[in-house]
Amino acid sequence: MATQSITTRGPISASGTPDAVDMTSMQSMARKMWIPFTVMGVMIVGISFLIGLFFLTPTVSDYFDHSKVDRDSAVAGSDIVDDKVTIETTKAWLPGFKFLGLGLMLGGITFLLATIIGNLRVAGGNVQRAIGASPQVLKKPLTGQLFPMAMMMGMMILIATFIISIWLASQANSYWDHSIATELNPAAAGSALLSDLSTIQSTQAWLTPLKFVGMAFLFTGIALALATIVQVLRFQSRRLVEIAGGAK
Amino acid sequence: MATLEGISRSTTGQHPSLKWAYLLIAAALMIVLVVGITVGFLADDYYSDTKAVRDAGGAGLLSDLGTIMAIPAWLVPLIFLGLATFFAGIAVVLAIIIKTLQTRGQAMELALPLILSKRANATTEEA
Repeated sequence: MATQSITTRGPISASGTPDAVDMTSMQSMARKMWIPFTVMGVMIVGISFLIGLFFLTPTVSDYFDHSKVDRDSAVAGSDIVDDKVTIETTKAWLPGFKFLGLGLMLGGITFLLATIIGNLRVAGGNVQRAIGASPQVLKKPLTGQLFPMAMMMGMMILIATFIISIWLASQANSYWDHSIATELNPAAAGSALLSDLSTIQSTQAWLTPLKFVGMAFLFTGIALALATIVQVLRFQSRRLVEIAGGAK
Repeated sequence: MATLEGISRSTTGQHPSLKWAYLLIAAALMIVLVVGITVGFLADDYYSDTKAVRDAGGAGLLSDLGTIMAIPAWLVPLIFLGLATFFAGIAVVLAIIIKTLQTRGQAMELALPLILSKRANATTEEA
């Protein structure tokens, strides 16, 4: 068995029990954080659904109750234009909010997997101690070092996309708060209105894939955490065989 | 029939199937990243023109519009392909965990009686 892959804890652990193996600080933090992350994620996704159902749907319904001529000729400040502004701004920030909720849920799953790894570490150490062997734990593998980074990267990307979505909503607000027929359609080349439209459309073009990049990092973190669990379980089987073979 | 030596050998180093999982995850990450990078700023180009020019479909504008409209046709399925590849990678790792848990069970089944009998012998000798 490769001795390079294992480390032995000192005689007294943080818990004060001789030879006990404790969770790492990251695992202890993950044990406390997985519930808040998951609950916040579920709440955000639920709130997004309620906003869509009780706020966006009636507004869209109201807006399309009017004829196209009425909608296009409505002036800034009218109910029709206000409805259009509400629809476009909500469509700009709501997907980012939903993705943030999903990201928090995936972050919660990653924390939960880190807690499982921590429990395997503690239980493995306790079993070794109980059968009279010196407790040894697997030295943190590369996957174990990478998964928290992938998770944090994913979360940062999703938070950034949500902030950009809020900014995009303000751009959408300033663009759509005009009459379509008399202001938006005749907007001259190089005007502020066309510049706003161009910014909105081009930002949306890369913002959606960026949200998926954030999700991709979170999924990578989950897969790497699972791979770490595989390595811990394999180490523990090997250690048991080693103890049975006489080597402590 | 599993033996302690066999288990020791099979649990040394990395699980052979884990590389397939890494490959799937890397492929998925590449797909999603490439999609993110590839989507350019065509929309910026197109919407800089006035509505009258856009509606008239001037030189290059129809081509830009065609590209803008065509991108979602392959972009959305490609994103989902990337996500599906992640799920495939995760499924492979979960399958490996099942196999590893079975091996761990066998290791306990074989090793614990030996360890306990050794302890019993040691206690008898001490007595």
